[in-house]
Amino acid sequence: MDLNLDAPHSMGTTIIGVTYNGGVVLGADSRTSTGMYVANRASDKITQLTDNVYVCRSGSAADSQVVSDYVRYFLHQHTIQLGQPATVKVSANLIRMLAYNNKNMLQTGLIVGGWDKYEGGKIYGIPLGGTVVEQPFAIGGSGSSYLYGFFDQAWKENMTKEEAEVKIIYA
Amino acid sequence: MTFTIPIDNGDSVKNAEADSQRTLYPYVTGTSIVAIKYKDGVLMASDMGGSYGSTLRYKNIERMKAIGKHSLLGASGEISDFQEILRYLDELVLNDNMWDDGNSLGPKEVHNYLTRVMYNRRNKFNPLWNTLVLGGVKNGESYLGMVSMIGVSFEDNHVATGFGNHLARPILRDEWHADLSFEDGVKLLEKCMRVLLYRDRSAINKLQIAKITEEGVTVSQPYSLKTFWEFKAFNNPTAGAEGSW
Repeated sequence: MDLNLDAPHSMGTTIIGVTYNGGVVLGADSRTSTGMYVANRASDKITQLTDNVYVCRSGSAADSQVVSDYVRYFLHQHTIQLGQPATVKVSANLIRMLAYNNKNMLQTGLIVGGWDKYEGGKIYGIPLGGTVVEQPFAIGGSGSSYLYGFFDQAWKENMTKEEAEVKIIYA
Repeated sequence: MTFTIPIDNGDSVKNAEADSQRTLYPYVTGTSIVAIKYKDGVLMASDMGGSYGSTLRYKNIERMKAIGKHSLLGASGEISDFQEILRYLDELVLNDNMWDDGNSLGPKEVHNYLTRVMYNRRNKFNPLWNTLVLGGVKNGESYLGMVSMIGVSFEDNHVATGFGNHLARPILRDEWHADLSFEDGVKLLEKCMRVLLYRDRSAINKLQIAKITEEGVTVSQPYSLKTFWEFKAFNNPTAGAEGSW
């Protein structure tokens, strides 16, 4: 078995975002792998963009980090100009703008989740290519393949926060 | 508004990638669109699936959208490119409204605009990976046209994209006629969509039908088609070879 330590740090991830009656719950695993080696077993894949919007990152670690950094910077300025917290939709759209316009170079799938006073809790999935899909729940990362069936049968509308958390941890 | 992360690829004389950005392949794709002219306007059908390679990842994608007052756009292919096209069209419609002169963009104009956009992108080797269907009614005249990702553009009484070209078009050639009623038109579209459901691997049984008439656009709620699986051979599958499974 050879460890390719020069392989790009990809995350080999499972990320989940779920809306419930009152907001959103986000979940992620903590493994970052470089080929077969686990480069970081304590990574934090849920990254804050603003007080009320977070993003789950998957795919290339570097790409998702740099996109998050740019969007946090833009949202910070936007919040100052707007005079109130940014909405989840705007955050998702900024991520989309970077993901779509740089689709040739980026390899990262993201799930934007947050709460604002206009629309409440919202989850937006942004896969490779820069499509934006608003969903009641979203899953992503290479580990998510195993969860399509689970969520198809386990998901229901208007769960409580506790129910959502239990489902995510189980997944 | 665009923001491209600045990268320095160096001298564009020696480095072929320095000044070109090309779309190589689609990621999240929609499958066929089928559309026909009928008595009062145009009917268009699409399913709500978004495939990610061979996985059917999204089951709630709307691939038909109203454009202005007179047009309906359906798209197959890369969904992110379709979303970008909708943004361009938003700008087009906004500028049209700002003239405030009582005139509004009709389907012919929108179709022409889209043709120019698609062809010019193709010339730069950076296509929008979509096949678009544009239908509409203005001043009593129905219009139905199509633009492909390489800029091929034409109008017809009935169009289909993707698999629909192979499976739906023969049905439409046989059974379409002028002045179809709404009910007959829907039946015809459903017939095409059912064949696509049976034979297109990336189709799902959750479709919408959109109608555009002089009054405007309506997109139906998603619904599913009845399918037939009562083959006699399924009743007693081991009849010819007892003990097999």
